[in-house]
Amino acid sequence: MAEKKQLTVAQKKQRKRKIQNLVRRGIQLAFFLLLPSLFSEAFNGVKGIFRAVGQGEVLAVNDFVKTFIIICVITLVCGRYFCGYACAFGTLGDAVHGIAKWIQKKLKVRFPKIPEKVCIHLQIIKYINLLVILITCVLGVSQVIESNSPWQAFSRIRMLDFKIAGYWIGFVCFMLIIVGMFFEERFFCQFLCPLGAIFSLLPILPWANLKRKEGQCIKGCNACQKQCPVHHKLNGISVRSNECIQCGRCKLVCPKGNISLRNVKQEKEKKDIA
Amino acid sequence: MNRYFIARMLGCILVLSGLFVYQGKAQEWQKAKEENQKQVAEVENYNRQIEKEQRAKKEEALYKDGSYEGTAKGFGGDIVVSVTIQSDTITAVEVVSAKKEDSAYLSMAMEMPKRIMDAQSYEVDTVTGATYSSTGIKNAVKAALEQAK
Repeated sequence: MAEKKQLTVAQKKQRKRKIQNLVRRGIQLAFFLLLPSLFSEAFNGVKGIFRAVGQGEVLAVNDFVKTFIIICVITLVCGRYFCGYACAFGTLGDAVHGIAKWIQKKLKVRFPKIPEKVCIHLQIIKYINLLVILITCVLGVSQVIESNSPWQAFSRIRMLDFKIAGYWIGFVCFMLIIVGMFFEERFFCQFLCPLGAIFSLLPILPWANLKRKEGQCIKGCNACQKQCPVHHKLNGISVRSNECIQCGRCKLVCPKGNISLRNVKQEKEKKDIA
Repeated sequence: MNRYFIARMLGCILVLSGLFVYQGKAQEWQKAKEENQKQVAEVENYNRQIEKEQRAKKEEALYKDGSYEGTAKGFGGDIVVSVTIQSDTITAVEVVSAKKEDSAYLSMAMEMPKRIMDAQSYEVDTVTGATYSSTGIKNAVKAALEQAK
């Protein structure tokens, strides 16, 4: 009797997880179809500002800059939900990696993975990427990167324009990124995305970070870390806490429901008082 | 308090105040530049007026009066503009259709008709950040003017 009841609880939990996962995928799909160029518009705003600085022009708040500011404010207050839910490039990555996962499951094979330590170091590339792009903007030579960028290739393919003559470098980069996305989850977001680099540098309010009650964990359970697409460890305050893209998978997978937005310290104090 | 949060906060404030200071300076430069441009425009307008009068004396016009449509490729597809000419002056530039342009980029490129009318020529700078759409408008105006000859 007791066993049966436990099973239903577990089943309920699993169903809840499935529904939450479906909701996230649904939101991602909706953003992909309705606002597929949000990420490039927002980053265009940043580039526009730095181009204006390079030319000594007055900074203008155009639609791109507005998009960027809105996304930044949301990120500051709530965390990087844009990355986890709204960015078309992230969604594309999730879809491509989803295919890889499905193949691995069906064929019962495991594709090689980049070791976690290497991943953490590779995540620094995106800051260099951001720096290089902004420098080219200030110097007024950003057109060279723009016409060869994989983002440009992506928007062209979205427009069903397959004449790759003028921008084949961008097209090849895009294809390489797709291959990367296939093997490593959130390959572009983790290692290359210049917009993600900006978000990582923003002072995201600490209460938007997911926290783990480590004391209550099952010994040796690393479910949340294994599930995390950006290799975040959730162990207290860390430099990399802004890597979190709020996909919420750690929250779903935790068998004890240990991960939440609540402050661990406050919880401890409450206990002490009790 | 989280020291990484404080460090990021300081960094952010630094960047924002840097941009703020820059904006003040840039506005000063802009003012000086506008003064200069005004003078140049006055001279150019005067020259154009004289040219026109001379042409009128010879009774030959550069363009025929009327509305002309021109088409050129933008980012995603064709952009069609309509150019209205009255006694050798471009009096209106309208984008008739640009179905396959991304709306945000197109709205930036909508600066082009004004630039073209101000310069009275299709040879103007494109809008940075919306290069493809504004080049499309520019070339479409060029095509329309070809017809008006």
